[in-house]
Amino acid sequence: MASSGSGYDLSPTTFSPDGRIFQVEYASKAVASSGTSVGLKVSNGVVLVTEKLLNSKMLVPGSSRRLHGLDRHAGCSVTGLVSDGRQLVNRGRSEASNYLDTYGIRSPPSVLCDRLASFAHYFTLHGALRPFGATTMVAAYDEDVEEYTLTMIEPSGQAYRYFGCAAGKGRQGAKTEIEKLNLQGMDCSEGLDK
Amino acid sequence: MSILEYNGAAIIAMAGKDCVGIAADTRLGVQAQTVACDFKKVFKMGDKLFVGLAGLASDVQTLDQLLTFRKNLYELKEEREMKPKVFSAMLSSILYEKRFGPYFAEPVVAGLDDDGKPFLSAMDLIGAPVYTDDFVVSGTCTGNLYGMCETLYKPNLEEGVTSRELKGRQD
Repeated sequence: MASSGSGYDLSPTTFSPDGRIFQVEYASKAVASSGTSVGLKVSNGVVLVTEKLLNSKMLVPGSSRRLHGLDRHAGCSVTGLVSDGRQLVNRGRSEASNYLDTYGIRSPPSVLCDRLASFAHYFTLHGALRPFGATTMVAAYDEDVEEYTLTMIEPSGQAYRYFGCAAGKGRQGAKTEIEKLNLQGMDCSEGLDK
Repeated sequence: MSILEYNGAAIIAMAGKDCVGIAADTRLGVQAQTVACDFKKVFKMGDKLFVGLAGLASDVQTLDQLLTFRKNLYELKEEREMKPKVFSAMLSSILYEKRFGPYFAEPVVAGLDDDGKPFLSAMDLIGAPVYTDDFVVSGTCTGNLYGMCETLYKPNLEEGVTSRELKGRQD
């Protein structure tokens, strides 16, 4: 699998003969080898959980956040390269703020996630840039329809809404467990326990 | 001579019981000379949203086009209708963007929000908004219009009465 990209995996601006962009896939691999994150959309909100791996006893616990606020009504978790995640979070904050300035209301989740996904996608189109090695799970509230949403934005720029999603090392196991749960039937505190 | 008074306008909007009314004159002048008697200054942006634009005729028409464009783009992207207060905030942004070379237009926004509650707002040419629940005026004879409104306006008038009141002001 690793060697099948030879020659076509040097730049995001090159398609492979079977129509894949290897750089984007490698970016997803970077995410897949990091600490696990899980997101659950339950009856009265969204629960985001991340695993923070402390590599050394010298590290101060509580440093290097992986859960960030984007606006009063939206927050996100970062899986993958933490520094890449910072860029995405900063962009998300700036988009949310600009929307509020222009339209006078909080950005609807679909718009905020669409802008963030477009931003991530942009970096898969240029030879001088590399894709972000981070997946963001955005939890947001739409005040118009009074609904909570959970969206996962991958390095490729793909963004889908989920009832439950997982990213990182333990995602396979997490996904199996999530599928067993009845998410609509629980509230935030129950979701957090699970 | 002021650019805002070059073409001339009188716009008024007021709120009644579960309704709003908006009215404008239709004169287009070049200073003292009248050039047209059918110039549109109130534009329908949506089923329950109107904007009246007073000021330089060229900017009135350009803003109408710009606002329609931005509103349509918003509705396509967000897959929902634009609320009057959002429209007003957007208009304010658009005007302030041109802070050091403004559109010479002073708009008035009138609409009904989702619950049918009346929404009124007015702005100066650089987008400073004012929100009221009774009436807003704009144009070259705001002094006269304010005078009429202050004396004759009553809150919670029924639909038919509100429109008659508006017509009275314009005459």
